[in-house]
Amino acid sequence: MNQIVHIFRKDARQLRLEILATLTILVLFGIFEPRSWNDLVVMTLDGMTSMAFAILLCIAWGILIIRLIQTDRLPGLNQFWTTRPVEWWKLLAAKGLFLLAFLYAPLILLQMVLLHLGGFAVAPNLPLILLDMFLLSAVLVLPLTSLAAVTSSFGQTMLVLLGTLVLFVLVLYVAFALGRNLEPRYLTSLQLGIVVAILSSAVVYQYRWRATRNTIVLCAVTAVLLICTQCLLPGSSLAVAGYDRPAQGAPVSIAIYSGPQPGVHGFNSEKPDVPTIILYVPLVVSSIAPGTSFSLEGQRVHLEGPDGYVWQSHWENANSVLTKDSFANSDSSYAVISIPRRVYDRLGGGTVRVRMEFAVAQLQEMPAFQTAVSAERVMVPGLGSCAFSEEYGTIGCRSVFGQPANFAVSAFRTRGRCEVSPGNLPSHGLIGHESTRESRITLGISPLTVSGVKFESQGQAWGSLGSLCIGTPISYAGKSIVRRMQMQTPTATVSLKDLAGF
Amino acid sequence: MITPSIATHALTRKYRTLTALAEVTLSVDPGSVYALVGPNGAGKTTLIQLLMNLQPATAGTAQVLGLPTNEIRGAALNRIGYVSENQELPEWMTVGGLLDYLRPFYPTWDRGLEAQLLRDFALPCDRKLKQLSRGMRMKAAFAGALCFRPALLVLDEPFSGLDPLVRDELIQGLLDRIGETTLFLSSHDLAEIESFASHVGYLEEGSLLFSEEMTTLSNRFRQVEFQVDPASDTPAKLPAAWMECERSGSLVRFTHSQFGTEAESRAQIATLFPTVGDAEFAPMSLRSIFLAYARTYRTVRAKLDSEVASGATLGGKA
Repeated sequence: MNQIVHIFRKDARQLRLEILATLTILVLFGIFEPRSWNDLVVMTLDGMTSMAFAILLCIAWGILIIRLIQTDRLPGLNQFWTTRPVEWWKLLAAKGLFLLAFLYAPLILLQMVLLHLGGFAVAPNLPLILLDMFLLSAVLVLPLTSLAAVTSSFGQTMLVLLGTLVLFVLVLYVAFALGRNLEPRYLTSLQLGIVVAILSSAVVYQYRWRATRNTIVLCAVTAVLLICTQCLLPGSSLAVAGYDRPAQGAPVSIAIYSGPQPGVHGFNSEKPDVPTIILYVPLVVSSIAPGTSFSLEGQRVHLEGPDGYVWQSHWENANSVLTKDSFANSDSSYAVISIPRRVYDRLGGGTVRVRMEFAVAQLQEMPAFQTAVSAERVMVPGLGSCAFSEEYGTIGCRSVFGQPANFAVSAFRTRGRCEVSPGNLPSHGLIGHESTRESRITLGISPLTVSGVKFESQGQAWGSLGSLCIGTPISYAGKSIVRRMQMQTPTATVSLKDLAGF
Repeated sequence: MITPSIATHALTRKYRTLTALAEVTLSVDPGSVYALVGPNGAGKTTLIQLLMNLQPATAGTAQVLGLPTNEIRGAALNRIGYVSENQELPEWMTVGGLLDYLRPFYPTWDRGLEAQLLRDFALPCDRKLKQLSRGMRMKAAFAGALCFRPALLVLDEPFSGLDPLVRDELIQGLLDRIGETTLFLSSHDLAEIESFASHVGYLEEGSLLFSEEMTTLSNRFRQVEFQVDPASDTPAKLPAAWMECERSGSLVRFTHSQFGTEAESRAQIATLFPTVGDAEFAPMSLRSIFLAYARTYRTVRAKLDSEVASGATLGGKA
């Protein structure tokens, strides 16, 4: 333990300027961040300053981590420490203690202060703070520690880092070019697990053996596995396996509208060298029970030409929500799906038989939390603390770590004086994380996320919605996923040219 | 039986096709001062790095203070001091800061010796290492390696590039430790080594050509000169122990590498050169022995290479 503390003190003395810079930026972030919590619609100067300090903080942490590891460099034969009685695990522990003292502890402390300033109790949110530290380790600390452990100088680390970033941009590009495959829901967790497991092993291995070449191989394996999971995971089979086929009748009916096409034009280029054609498939939705909504998470299209030629797409990501409120008037929606140009040309743009399959999450509204519109903060269970913002004319909610859960909000608006009267207009809105496929927990320096309720205009001009009035009733109903299932439309005969908008 | 401070057996280090160290076998007794000499690229630093477990051996075994070299790490380094001309120092530290940092690592750290070395080496405690000259930095490194009274002190080219005054100060610092510490050092500075080394080993192209006590080495090498009748012939085959044998008219000169007594040598010379006059036998410095070995080795090597090359050419033609 003495040796650990001794090395820790040495590092703290050597890196005092870096520590000072990091803590200063952290404090400045802590000063500006609360000022940005009222930015519900547009980002103010305080919000931009806070964001700038957050970026600066990440850069300062990066420099601190790289310098820390390289004060007792691992690759090479001429290091001072390697011929001194320094135990490898004590050296590693000293580096860990340093990060705990000057990176994690100040950040945890800041997050606790921000939680307190934001009106949240600290103790119940400690697990989320620790989860955030885990994410920070996986995304920033471990990758940079590994890079610094296999490179000899700061400049070399920067070059390798630049190369790695270029590689990841290429991977994302390739992944996108391969198509929007429906990814398994656990993909991000899997990738985080790969990063944490392999990179932490690589760091320990490098400290124990200083076999830089082998450690580089371990880091490369991590990169290859990330690339493989991102680009090569067969979304069609793995992802859809988690969606049941309902044995009984589906709780919603979705059909392809085969009447006169509403006419979505101008989305596809007429040029023959465009590799994909986007199809807008009109849907008719019915039988949605009140309080129920359906999130379309994945989709697949089957096309059959008049000559018997059949083409079926992969399972792709879809991201739209079908609700009773949304479609009470129109009962219609669109599925947007792309097909290769060669398939479009093969089918000839004429009449085709179309069938679609969907991977759907069914959401059910939970019992609503009833309260009144108030300028004071009201704690809404599962959502966060919400208050009426006179500046933006809507409800702003602060939630802890990441987007708030998905909530339906019902209130009344008036175009006249603010009073509870039968003339008030019912108004419905949504707040929270719309995607049902991704975890709403995200890595953040600030523990609070601020978002505003989006009230639906239903075709009306925003101004004609009227105003929310303080003291009028408002209810918040959280939505939870009750099941995931596969659904398919009946086969319809439509003009492919119309779907493409040509 | 006394455990040697250093013992290697067929120690080999290869880098792909290059053999940096070829089956080196040596033994260094406790309390001795072992000087490893050899030209640049001979493998001296590689051997030291293998002994210090800075890189692994490809084959063979090595033990330092009774421990296999792959166990030379952590607490095992409590008893081993190491100074290298190439070693990085924490240059942001002051001299005092360096010693303060090192002190807790060594249970045997001697504060009295520390004060004495600071005084003897005239080291400024409050100056940062990066502000010091190369000589002063080397002195600070020596202080850091001597204060814990190591059982073994390994020095890789410690005097390289230092002025004579600093060399003298460092050597004096080492001489004060002789007896309690085994010294193993590599150096080009043969004149300095000669003054205090008890044993010497000679590395050439990764091979240890000899390893013996300095007194034995000095006794078996002589520079020999004698006159013969200018009309007499030089025998076609000369003894292998006669290195760099050359004749200029009536003067014959060679380096005798297996010198016993003058009488034995005179008799041997008379057998080969019946017209020999009076022969003179001059003791040789380590530097002269080193040069004679190096030149002979290279001549023999060049001859072998040319034979191999001509053989290959003939083979190619055939």
